[in-house]
Amino acid sequence: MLGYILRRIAAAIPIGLIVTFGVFALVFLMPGDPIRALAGDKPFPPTVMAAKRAQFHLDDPFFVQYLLMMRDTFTGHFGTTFAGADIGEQLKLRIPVTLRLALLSYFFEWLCGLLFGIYAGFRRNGIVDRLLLLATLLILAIPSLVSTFTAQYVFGVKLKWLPVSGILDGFPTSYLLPAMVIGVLGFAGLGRLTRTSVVETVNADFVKTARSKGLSEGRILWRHILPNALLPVITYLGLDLAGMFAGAIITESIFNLPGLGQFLFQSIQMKEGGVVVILTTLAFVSFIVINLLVDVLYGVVDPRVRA
Amino acid sequence: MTVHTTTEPILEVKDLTVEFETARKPLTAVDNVSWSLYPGQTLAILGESGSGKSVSTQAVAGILDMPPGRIVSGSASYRGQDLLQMPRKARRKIVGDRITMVFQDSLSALNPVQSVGAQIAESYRVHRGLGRREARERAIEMLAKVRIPAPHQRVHDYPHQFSGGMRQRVMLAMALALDPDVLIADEPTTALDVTVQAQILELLAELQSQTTMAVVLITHDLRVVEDVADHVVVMYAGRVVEQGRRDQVLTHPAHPYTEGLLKSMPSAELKGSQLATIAGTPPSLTSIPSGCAFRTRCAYAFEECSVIKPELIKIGSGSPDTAAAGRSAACLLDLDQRVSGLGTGAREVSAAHV
Amino acid sequence: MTQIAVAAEEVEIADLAEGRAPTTRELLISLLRKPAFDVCAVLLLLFFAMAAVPQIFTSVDPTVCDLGKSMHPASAGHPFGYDVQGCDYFSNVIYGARPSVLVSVVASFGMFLLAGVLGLLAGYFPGFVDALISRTADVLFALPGMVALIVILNAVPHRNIWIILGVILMIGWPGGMRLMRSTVFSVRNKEYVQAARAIGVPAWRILTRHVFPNAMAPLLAMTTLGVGGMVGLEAALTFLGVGLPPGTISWGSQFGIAASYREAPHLFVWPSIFISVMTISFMIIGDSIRDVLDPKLLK
Repeated sequence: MLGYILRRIAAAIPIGLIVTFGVFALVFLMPGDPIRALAGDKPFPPTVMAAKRAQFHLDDPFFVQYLLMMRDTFTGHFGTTFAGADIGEQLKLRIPVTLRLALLSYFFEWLCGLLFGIYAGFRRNGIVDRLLLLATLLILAIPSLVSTFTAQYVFGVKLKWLPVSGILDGFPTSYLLPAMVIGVLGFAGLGRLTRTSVVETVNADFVKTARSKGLSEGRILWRHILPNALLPVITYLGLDLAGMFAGAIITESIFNLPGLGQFLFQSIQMKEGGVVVILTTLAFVSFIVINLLVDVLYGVVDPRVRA
Repeated sequence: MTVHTTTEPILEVKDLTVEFETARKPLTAVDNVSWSLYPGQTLAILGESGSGKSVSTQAVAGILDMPPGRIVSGSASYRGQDLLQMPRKARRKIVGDRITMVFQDSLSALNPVQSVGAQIAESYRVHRGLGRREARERAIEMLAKVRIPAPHQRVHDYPHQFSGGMRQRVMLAMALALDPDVLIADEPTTALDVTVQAQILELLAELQSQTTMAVVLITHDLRVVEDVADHVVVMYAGRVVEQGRRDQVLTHPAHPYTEGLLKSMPSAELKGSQLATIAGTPPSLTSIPSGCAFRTRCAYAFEECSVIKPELIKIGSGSPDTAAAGRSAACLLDLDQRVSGLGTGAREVSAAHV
Repeated sequence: MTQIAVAAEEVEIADLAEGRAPTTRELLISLLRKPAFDVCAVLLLLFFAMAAVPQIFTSVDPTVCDLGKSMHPASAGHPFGYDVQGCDYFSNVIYGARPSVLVSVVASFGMFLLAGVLGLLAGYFPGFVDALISRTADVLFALPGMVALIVILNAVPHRNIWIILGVILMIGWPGGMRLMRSTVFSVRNKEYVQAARAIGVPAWRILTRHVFPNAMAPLLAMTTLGVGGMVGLEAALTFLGVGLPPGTISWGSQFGIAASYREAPHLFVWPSIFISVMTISFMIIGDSIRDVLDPKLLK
């Protein structure tokens, strides 16, 4: 098991280098001069310009810039944005925002997804099942942009049940609406996956064997059906995270939450190459770590992949 | 291999009819089936796929999916108690403890994420209330009993780590763990190689000989019947067409279907000649022919076969030996004449009998 | 004898319903029997017509504006009212169909081809070809797709719809490729492929005639289900400012503007309804096609 984990980490390193290098190159290639753009209509005096450029290594060759940036990232010296904000400070402020949003939406998603998915799978073609299929079809079909705006307009602007945007009302009030939107969007996929998996498992031969052993329905459910039916759901954990990232970028922009998604988006628009690479690296590392955890977890639960 | 015809049957199925609900009309999968099983006996239910042989035993054990399945009528008495009328809870004390089952495809019939030890031990824990450790010990004993090498190590292994034959032994260990009165084996060797098949059947016969356990063996393989059965029930399109003692049915088949099956079995004497087959294919449940279901493939069929649905009638009343075995078949031909070996029993010979 | 013949025919009919793979014509007929499919197909044809020749739906030029009517509600002849610039919103929404239709259809078709061909190559030629394709896919998979799209599209100076399409394709193929690769793996050792190889059929012909047709169904189902998502993707990218350049008439840019003017909900409602109807239609059609392709899922 340990060897497997080490091998997975070793495989992730070259991919990580390619990804960060690629992202840095793309940001480097973006048109326009960031310092000049920062100054706006009144250009800085040449000496200030030169100092700024030296501070951000902008006159060094591309490859040197990349290496310097990687060194700073891994030693924790994130430096400042072009506008002078401390990136480390920014991360400290913004990571909790995104984390709270993600955890709360995960909570909604997994609670509803598992409950409805398992119930609908057992009572296939029942009323809950039909409603679930219809609701998830609508959720999956309507573009997330539309559902997000609609939720914000209906619950925030019209009904005034929850704050429209910002985080002034603190946790959890400010986070409820965006988290519910992300949670519901993820719930559709998870609920359908769980339902299909339960339906398939309920009809499996080994469930018939369990029944022929004279086991109670409760024992059959907990010992035989669920451990098998929830296997594909575990893989969804990892996939879900990618969706969560995309969701955070759009949702944080729409609800004006000062999290990492909004930070990333603003940094791209400001041509903050360093910040973009740091955030992308962060996304990449957490993505790899979560997928690794999911794979390890899967190996623990499913003896067939252990080998 | 002794037949205890004098004692009470341990399991008696009477007039069992099972239907499947479909969008259009209900399909009759099992039609008025009866058979009796005596302690120590091996009863083979012989039939092609779709003949209702598995459905009937699944209905008896209460593991048929209902819906779409539906038991229309009939009874299944275990020691005088009707399993079909019993509340679920009471039935669970019998099925899984006194009556157990083995299935065909051991890879899908065993839980893939539980060790085989845990799956065998589960019976001891649920039905005998044994603790974890003791149940594990008993599971190891069972693995040794079905001749799995190194049972102490293998008890922790998972189904996919066993070969097909070994996995079927695990199934057997699980089914025999509680020393049941009745074992229902649903095509237990169909998925296996011929040599492994023989090993499993031998093991089963050997374990059976040590107890008074009765076995219901569901199969489509006449050779398996020949090897292990005491009594045979032949099913076609959901109905019992013939039943009787193995030696009598196999040497003097009464029903043309049984005759066809026997003729289509290769043997050394037939070397060089062409093997006979039964014309056509078994009917699908949606289109069972009227009257006798076999008539469309029967070489002896005549007009009335399409009108009259033949009932099971006792045959061989002339000979006390056959009558005692309770031999019967469902056919409009003169069956006594057929089993006595005097002719085909075709209608021209004995029109008066119908 | 005739009875046996009748019985054999009945069995054949039963077989037809159960086992044999249906022909394209039979598939089409069973699709057309589904009322939901028919309704959605008609709706999609309408959207396609809207994208191709918007002039037949509205005679009003969407770029003729009167600032004095900015955000006015609906009035006679202008059922959707006016936008921020005071242009007729109905004609704007109609003309906005083009980018969404183009992106969704072209991206899906391109994705099917690209993922299909790469998956076919990776699955059929293990070794160097497979390693090259699969490792590239690993790299692309390691990044959340949205992040990659935003970063890449931001680096492109003069974006137009074809560049956006290209980037979507460049980022999006690995998922479909992996699916195709795994089905090709299961098909490549089937008897008919080995038989073709044994009699010396060239690899190219085996791939196009035997492997591809037998391995494409899962990818096709995945693609048809994904078309709806592509419609939303264009809108999301344009909304985030990395899609179509400002001033382009599209549902995405209409959302972007509507987001800043909450007091005029009609700006948001109309493109929402259009885009949702379109994605739901794609989704239901994809669902129907998948059901017909895979009768097992019907049970």
